[in-house]
Parts: sequence; C-alpha cells; structure tokens
Amino acid sequence: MIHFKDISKTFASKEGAIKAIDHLSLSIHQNEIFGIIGESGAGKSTLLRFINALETPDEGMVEVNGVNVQSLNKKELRQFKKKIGMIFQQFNLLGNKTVEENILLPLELHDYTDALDIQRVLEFVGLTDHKDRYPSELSGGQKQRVGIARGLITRPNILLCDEPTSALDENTKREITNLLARASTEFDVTILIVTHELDVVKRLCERVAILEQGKLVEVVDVQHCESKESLNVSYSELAREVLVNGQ
Amino acid sequence: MVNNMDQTYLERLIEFGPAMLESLGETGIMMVFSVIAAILLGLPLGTFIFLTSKNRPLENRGLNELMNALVNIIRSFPFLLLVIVMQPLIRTIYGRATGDPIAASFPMMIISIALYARFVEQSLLDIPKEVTETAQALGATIPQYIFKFLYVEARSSLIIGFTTAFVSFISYSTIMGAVGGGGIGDFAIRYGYHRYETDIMFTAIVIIIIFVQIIQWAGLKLAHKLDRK
Repeated sequence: MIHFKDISKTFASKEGAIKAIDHLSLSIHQNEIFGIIGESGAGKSTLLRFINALETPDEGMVEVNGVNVQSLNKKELRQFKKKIGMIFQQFNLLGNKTVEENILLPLELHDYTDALDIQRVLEFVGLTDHKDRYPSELSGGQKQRVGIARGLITRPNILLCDEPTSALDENTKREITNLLARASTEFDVTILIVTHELDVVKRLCERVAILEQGKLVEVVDVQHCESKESLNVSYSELAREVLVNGQ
Repeated sequence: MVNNMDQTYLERLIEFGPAMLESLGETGIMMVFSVIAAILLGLPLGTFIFLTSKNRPLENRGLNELMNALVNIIRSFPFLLLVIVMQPLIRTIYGRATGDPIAASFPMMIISIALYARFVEQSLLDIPKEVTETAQALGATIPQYIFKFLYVEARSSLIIGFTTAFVSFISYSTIMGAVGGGGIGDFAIRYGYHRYETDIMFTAIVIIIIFVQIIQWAGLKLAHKLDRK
C-alpha cells in the first residue's frame, strides 16, 4: 500500500548538510499498524511526512495506493490529502475553535461524500459532553482525542501519527494507544506511528521499522517478539534487544 | 465672536461648540477613510508580507523585501513631510490637495495601510508553526489557510493591533491641521495656538482622550472575548 523506494533526503543546516533519510526502502501493508522508531534525529518524522507530502524526498519515490506522490500537482495533492489523516505530538488544535469545530475542520476544506457523522466520532473518542469546550479547557489526553477525531472524521485510508503519546502521562498514553488500536479495526485504517516509546510500539504495532541516522536498520515483526517488561527507552540498539531478543 | 475674558466657560463652549463639532466631524471623515484603507489594503498587505517570508507557503524573497521596504519607508517617513510630498499626487487624483478632510485622507490612508500591515504581519508571526503544519497536512488552499487558520488564530491579536493603529491614526489626523486639512488638529491650532482659547482647546483634547479610551477599552474587551486560547 505504501512503498518507499530508495528515498533520500538531505537538509541544509548551519553545521552543514544533514542526511535525514539515506537510501531507504520500505513497504507498509494495508490496514496494518506500523511503527517507526529510532533516536531523535533518526529521520522518523521526515519519513512519515513524505507520505502526505509535507516533505519531499531528494531522491527515490514514495508510492501510496499506486500513486507516485511526487508526481502530483497541487490540485491532485489536495485531493490526495483528503484521505490521509494526521495526528501530532502537540495536538495542533486551533485554540479559538471548539472541540466540535476542530473535528469538523477537514470537512470545511474539502467536499466529502462519505465522512463520518460528528456524533459518531465524538462518541468514539468519548468527548460527546465536551464538544462545546475549547482546547484550553481540555487535558492533554482529551486534546489528543480531538486530534484523533479530526483525523478520523474523513474516513481516511491512512492515519499518520507523529509521536502521538510523547506529551502524555502513562495512563493517558495507554488510553490513546487503545483508542488507536480500536480505530484501526473499526474504521479499516492503516496506521503509521512514529514514536520513541517502545511500550507503545509493543502494545500497538504489528511491525516496526528501526531507523538509525536516516538508514533502515531492520523491520521487526513486533507481535512475534517476546518482551519481559514494558520499557520507555529511546534508542534503537536497545529497541532491537527488547523487540527481537525480548530482554 | 469676541474673546471676552468675562465670558463663562459654558458661554464660550456654546460659542465655539459648533466649530469644534465640525472639526470632530472632519476628523471622523479622515478616520473612516483610514480605517477602510487599513482593513481593505493593510490587512491583505500584512498577510502577503507574512506569506512571502521565509519558510511560508508563498515564500518569495524579492517580493517580500520589496513590500517590507515599502512599508518601512512609509512608516519611517516623517508624516508631515509625507503629506507635503503627496500634495501633487492628491491634486492630480482629487483636484485639490488641502482644505477639506477628503483631501487630507489620502496621506492618512497611506500611513494607515503601512502601519496596520506591520501589525498584521507581527500578529501572524506569533501564530505557532503547528497551525501552518496542520493546514498543510489537511490540504488547505492558500485562501483557506488565511481565513480558516491564520485569521481565526490571530483574531484577538489583529483586533488589539487594529485598536493601537486606530489610536495612531487619530494622532496622525491632528497633523493634517498643520496643512489646512481640517479636523481637530486644525481646530486646536486655530483656537488654541493662534487665538489662545486654551480652555476650548483642552476641551477638544479631553473629548479626543475620552474617544481614544473608549476605542481602546472596546478593542481590548472584544479581543479578550474572542480569545479562547
């Protein structure tokens, strides 16, 4: 469904060129929950942002549902983005819009014929009683629920999650992880989740790509790994040990 | 109309009141033109400067620097000199360059556009970059980005900026009196400076201060009401 074909990306910085992604190839299947982990600066978010063209690779190709994303013109890209939801670490809600208005925002931007009903989405994320509140009146977990609802209301094929639990406490993290797992089955959506939290990966993902300095180290089948404990560490060497060796 | 020291303040107010009201009306005309120019041209200009700046959706260094320079030149131009420099242009457009509040509104409009454009740009720069990121992720067009994201998030700041700009417009409008542009500045010069009707001049100043206070209070009140962040 999603194919990264030998993609590379270099960013210019004051310290010189930084290779964010280095000749990476990877495929993600339809309806799977796929994790991308790695240290800070490993290129996780960049990789995720290739899918909805927030970033463009310098080399290689990103193919989504048979469409070469880089070949799309502006108009086609807008249409393409209609079916990709995204949730963010800092929730990215509009502070001057209510919960309901934030969730309905994507429907103001495009015409949708198959969008979900607002009530159903509010019920799904458990915010029916909070629909008239503003983000400043919500907890972090509630804000992320709004973000998830906004991501789902369009019935997306793909839901991109950029560190969705990093700003949350343990209990809330668990709630959000469960919600994403339910979203996957209830709405048949492929979920890509960038995180540095291994417990989130283990709880949620079917497979996970481990990135190091822009390179794909390996793809691990999470559900067939054994882990003795829930960890909250952030580098890939340990990730491999935990996920592959179960230590 | 005799400047009689024995006249009571009330009698003098009754005598000069109509002239003062006429001057306030002229200031009002200048303010209306300034406000319209600020909203219709200053707001889009400030937005465009923001959009063409670095890492923004319409990034264009050349255009951005050109518009920035234009705004800076107008804002740094001593206003009285701007008024004088613009006289031939105003005469060409309007037929006369001084003597009525409409002629006086031309330089007022120019300074209003530049002043509010800068306020708008500053307001938009304060919006977190996540808002832009969200708009891009959702596939918003540029007009959607402006009206459904930027102006929604910056609305209270835009109102506060407008209130501040409005108070400056009043200040600029008084300078128009120096070149016969009418308005309350003209009134102050004629009665306060040339005729030593100090109490009448101070009455006009108090009226302006009260007006500014009302505008400032209303602007802040509205801004706070609209700010839900």
